[in-house]
Amino acid sequence: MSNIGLQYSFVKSLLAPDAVLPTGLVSDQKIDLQKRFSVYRNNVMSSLVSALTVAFPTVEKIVGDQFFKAMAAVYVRQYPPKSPVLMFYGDEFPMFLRGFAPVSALPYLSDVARLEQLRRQVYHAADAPSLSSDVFSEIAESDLFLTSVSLQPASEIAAFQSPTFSIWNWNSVEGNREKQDILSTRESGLIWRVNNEVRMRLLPLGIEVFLRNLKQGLSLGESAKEASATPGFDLTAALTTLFETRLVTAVNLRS
Amino acid sequence: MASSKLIAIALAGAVTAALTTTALTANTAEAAAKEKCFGVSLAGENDCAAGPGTTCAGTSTVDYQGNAWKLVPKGSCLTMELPNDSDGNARQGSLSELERDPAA
Repeated sequence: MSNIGLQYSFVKSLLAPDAVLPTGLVSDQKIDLQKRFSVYRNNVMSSLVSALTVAFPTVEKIVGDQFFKAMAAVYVRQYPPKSPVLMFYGDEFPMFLRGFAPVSALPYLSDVARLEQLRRQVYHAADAPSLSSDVFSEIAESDLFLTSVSLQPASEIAAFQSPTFSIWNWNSVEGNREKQDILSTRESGLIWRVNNEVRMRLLPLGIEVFLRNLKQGLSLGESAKEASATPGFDLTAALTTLFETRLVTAVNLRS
Repeated sequence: MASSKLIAIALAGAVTAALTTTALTANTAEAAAKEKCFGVSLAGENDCAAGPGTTCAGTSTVDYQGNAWKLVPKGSCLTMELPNDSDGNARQGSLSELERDPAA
């Protein structure tokens, strides 16, 4: 049997819950291949399930440990890892949850998983030194409109149809156990990193639009102009958010 | 939507106002609870930036690779216990890159 054929059959047996030995597996010792293979398969499954548990602690908290493990096992069989690097394993978990019938009563679960995945991406994103916001006071007033900025690689802007940040917060932050009212409405927010620690803050709609435009490379003026179409947009608050979060890594003047 | 001219005028004032607000709040020092510790992570379990020959997170190829770092609780990097290397020399974590245990 060819190597490729053996590998195919091996993977198939590895992910199948009922024991079928891969074809072409032989041993020159008198050992129970079936038993050995089961041990190996069990280790593979349980380590991938633990990787997901580490990755999605809030989802786990919401559905409970037992349910999560069973659900994660279904996911692992449908979406085995494509990369040996496990720190991002689970990319398709939010999408999987949206279609997973047993959790259809929790429509926000998929959003919570997406937020946790974004937090991982931000946590592992490249380092880039932040620019002191003092540089903005050195830009001539007439140049501000056409100035564009580069933002931290370790930053994501996310919008959810459910109050995902509040749900995450309520479940994950200690001392937050008192039940606050969570308005069931869309939430958007910024996820970024300060001193190797992932931070999050909610963004009003106008500021979300402003930051998204900046991230896409629009100038300060163009970004502010588009955001001003959102009722209640506050330009000073938007710039304060930009400076406070130290998102800016470079300033580019367009001439 | 406001006109470009109005926005241009508003920007100048808003930048000044935002800089003032930020100056008041940003200087509250952020206590970093973690530090980057080189030479302590197991192969494939480093955080970002394992240096030349690797790209980023999860890419260190040998245990305790000297140029790969992991975030550890602040103050614990220099004191944590590590196994000796194959020649019996003691290993220690470091706050800067190390040359020992190069990527394989």
